Amino acid sequence: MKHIMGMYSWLSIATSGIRFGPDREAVRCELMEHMEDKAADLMRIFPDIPEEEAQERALAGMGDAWELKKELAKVHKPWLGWLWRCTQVLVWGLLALCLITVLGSAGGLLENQKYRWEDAQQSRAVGQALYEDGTPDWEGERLAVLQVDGEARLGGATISVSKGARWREPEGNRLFLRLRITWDRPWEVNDIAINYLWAEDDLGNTYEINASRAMAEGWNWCQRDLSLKDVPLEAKELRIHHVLRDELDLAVDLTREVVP
Amino acid sequence: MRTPDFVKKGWGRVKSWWDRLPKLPRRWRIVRNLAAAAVLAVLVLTLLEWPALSSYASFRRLEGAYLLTPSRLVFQVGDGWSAGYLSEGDSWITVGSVSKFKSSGKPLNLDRNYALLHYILPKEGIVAVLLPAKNEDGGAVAAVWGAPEEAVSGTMELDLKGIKNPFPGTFTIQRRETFSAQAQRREDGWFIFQFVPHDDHGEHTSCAMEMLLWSGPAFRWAEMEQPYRLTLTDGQGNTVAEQSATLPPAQRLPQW
Repeated sequence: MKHIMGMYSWLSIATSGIRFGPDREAVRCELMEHMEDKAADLMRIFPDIPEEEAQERALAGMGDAWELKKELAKVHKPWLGWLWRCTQVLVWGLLALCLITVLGSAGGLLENQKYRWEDAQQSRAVGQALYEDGTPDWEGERLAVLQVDGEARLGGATISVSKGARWREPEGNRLFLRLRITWDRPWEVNDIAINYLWAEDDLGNTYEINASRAMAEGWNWCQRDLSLKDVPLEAKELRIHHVLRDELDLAVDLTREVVP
Repeated sequence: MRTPDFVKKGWGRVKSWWDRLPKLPRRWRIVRNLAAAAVLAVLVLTLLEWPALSSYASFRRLEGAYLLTPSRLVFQVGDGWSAGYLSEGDSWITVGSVSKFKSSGKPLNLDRNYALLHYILPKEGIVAVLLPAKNEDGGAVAAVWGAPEEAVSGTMELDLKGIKNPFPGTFTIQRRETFSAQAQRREDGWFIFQFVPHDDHGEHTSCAMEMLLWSGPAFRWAEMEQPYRLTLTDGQGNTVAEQSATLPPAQRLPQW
C-alpha cells in the first residue's frame, strides 16, 4: 500500500508543473506505464523479487520528482494547449449555431433554396436555347450567336457580359445578352440593381434594361438574360451605362458572329 | 433513457474511424480547427443572411446593393428606433432610412433593421431633399446641395398640405401649414435646415409636420412632393439664388 501511495505522490509531484490539464494527465499516464514496465522488467530479470519491491525499485529509478517537475514545466508550455482547446470550442460552437439556424428557419431556408434551384434550372435551359443548341419553349428563330465578353467595375461590384444572341420573334427582333453582377461583398447581392442600367448602341438608340428571359442568383452574384427589343442589325456596338453614375461604360461588340 | 443500439454502434464506428486517422501535431490541429472555424463562420453568416449589426451598416449595405459606393456620409438624424441618412457620391445623392422592428423576419431575428432608400438623385442644379427621420425637436430635416459658391446662408420655407393623419378614424389635414428654417453653409457645401413643428395648435388639431413624421419612414413618407421656397444669400445679405419647387417624390427602394 505504501509503495502505491509513494508512486501516486511521485507522479503528482512530477507532473504538477504542467499547467494544461489534458497534457498533465497524458504525461502522468505515460510515466505510470513507464514505471510499470520497469517493475515488470525487474520481475522478469529477478523472478524471486516480490512485486512490491520491484515497484519500489522502479520508483527509485525514476529519479527526483521535484527535478523532473521543473524539466516538464519547461517543456510543456500551456498556451498551445489552451489555444487548441479554444479552437475546439469555437468549431463546436459554430457547428451548434449552424444547427440552431437551420432548425430555426428550416422552412424558409429550404424554400429559398428550392426557388434558387428552380431559377438556376430555368436559366440553364433558357441559356442553352438562346446561345447553344437547346430547344426554346417560345416562338422564334435564332439569327446569330454572338461572341461577346466585356467586364467593368462599378461600386463594389463587377459587371460582365458573357453571351449574346440575336433572335427574330413574332413581336420583333431581339438581342439577348447574359449580364452578371458580381459583388465583392456577398451581403450586397441585389437583383434590382440591374434595373438601374441602360444601354445605347452606336447608332444612337437607347434601351431600357428592364426585361429578361431568365434570371439566376448565386452566393455573391445575380444574372439575367436581358432581352433588348428592336436593336438594329446594323448596330455594331452596345454600351451599357448606369442611370446615375457616369463611370460605367461597358462596351459590347455585336460584330463577332460565331454561329450565323 | 437508454441509448438505442444502432446509435451506439454507429458512434462506435465513427470513433474507431476517427482513432484510425493519423494524429496531427498540436500546432497543425490548431491550424486545422481555425480553417474549419473560418469555413463554418461563413456558412453560419450565410445561413443568417449576413446580419447587419447597426442601422448605419444596414444603410451602407443597401447603398452597396444598388451600386452606390464609394460614398460619403453627409448627415444623419435619428430618434432611436428610426434613423435617416444622407450620403453623397461623385455624381449622386442618396437619402435612406433604417427602422428597427421587433421582428424583421430574418433568421434568429438577429438583424431587426429594415433599410429603405428614399431618394437617389443626380447632382444637377440645386437639389433639396427631406431626411426621413425626426430631429431632436421632433421636426423634419431638409438638406440642400448645389448652392452657388457665394451663398453662405439660406432660408427654406416648406409647405405641408394633404398630410394623412396616421390615427384610425381621423382625416387628412387639408389646411396648408408653412414651416420655416435657416441654415449656414457647411464646409462641405451642404445646407442642413432643421425644422421645428408648430406648437400653437388647438386641443383637437394636429401639426402637419408631426403627422408626417409620426409613423416612421418605412410606412409613410409617400407624401413627400410638397412645395418649398429656398432663398440663398451671400455674406452681405444679398440674395444669390432663389428656388421655388416641389420636393422630389420618394422612390422607396427596398432591401432585396
